[in-house]
Amino acid sequence: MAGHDWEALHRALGQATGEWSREELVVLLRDLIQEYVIERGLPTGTPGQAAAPDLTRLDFPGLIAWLKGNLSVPELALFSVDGRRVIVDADGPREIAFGRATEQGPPVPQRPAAAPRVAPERPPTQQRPGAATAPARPAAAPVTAEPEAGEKPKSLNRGFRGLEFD
Amino acid sequence: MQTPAEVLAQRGGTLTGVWLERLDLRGGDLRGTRFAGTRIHRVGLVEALLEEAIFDGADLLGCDLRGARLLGAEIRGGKLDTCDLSRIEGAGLRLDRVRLEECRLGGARLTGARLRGVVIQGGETSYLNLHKALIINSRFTHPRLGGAQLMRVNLRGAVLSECDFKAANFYAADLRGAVLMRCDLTEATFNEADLTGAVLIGCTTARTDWAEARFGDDESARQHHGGA
Repeated sequence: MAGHDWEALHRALGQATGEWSREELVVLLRDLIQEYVIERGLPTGTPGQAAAPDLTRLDFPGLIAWLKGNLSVPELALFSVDGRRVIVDADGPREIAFGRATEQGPPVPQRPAAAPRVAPERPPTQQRPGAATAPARPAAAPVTAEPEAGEKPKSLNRGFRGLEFD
Repeated sequence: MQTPAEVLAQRGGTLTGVWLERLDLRGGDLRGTRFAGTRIHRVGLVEALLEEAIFDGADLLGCDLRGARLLGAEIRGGKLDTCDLSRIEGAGLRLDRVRLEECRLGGARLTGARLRGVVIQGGETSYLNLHKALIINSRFTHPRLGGAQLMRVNLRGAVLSECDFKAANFYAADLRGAVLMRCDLTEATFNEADLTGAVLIGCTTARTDWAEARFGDDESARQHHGGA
């Protein structure tokens, strides 16, 4: 309603509702809020709907899924969420088993020489699919990650050296 | 349930999934009773006491509710087909996503009623009293006559939002102080209707006939706020 005469509308509404008691107006307002705000939801794009959920309540896969759906940060395209797993495709297919140490379940026999599945490194001239959208990796920086209590610190594979964890 | 006594014994309770047919419950007291998923076919409920009753997904066919008292009652979902609701007392009645087909509503008093997602198709709707009612996202049609027959309806102080009144006949209707928001009034006629102090916001008024309508001194209703 660009250029609308709000003063005229205000006067007209004041006149139209002149017979309404305060109680009737409150009930009317309540019913309009119920219909248009509570039950139908806010119109698309309003700040209320765009507000983020409480991110502290999300687990890691949930957090990554929410970030991917709500932020247009190219780096997030490197992450994919598969159920409870978060997979990072930073330099070839790799998996990070975040949170596995905390999973409750029967003990699994340790495989000899168990190691993260790592794809063989490709020659530098080979272009990865989707690599055009991936940002250039910064120079390798020392990565520090807080190990969980009782968990043996894991040394990050070379493929993750370009990722920074806050 | 086979007898009126069996039904009336449920007053204030809940009747779930039962089938009531060809019963005479005239003047019966069913205040506060909840009819959930109930089929009520050809039941006489003339002047029945149905205050605060709840019809939840009920299907009423060919019922006679003339003069029934439905103050504060709720009808949620379901359908009323060829029912006679003439002169019902329904102040504060709440109709939520209900379909009324070929029902007689002449002289029904629905002051302060709340109609939401209601479809009123055909039937008789003249002299309906919707004083200060709130009507949202509802449709009034009459396929055989081209548009709903809303002659002499009382919509004084009513608030109508997103309603479909295409080709409706508002002859001599009282719309004083009514607020119409985003209503479709295409080809509706307002001959001798009184729209003094009425406010139209974002309404569609293509080929609407205002020729004989009254707008009072300031003609505020003529000041369409938005709309087409």
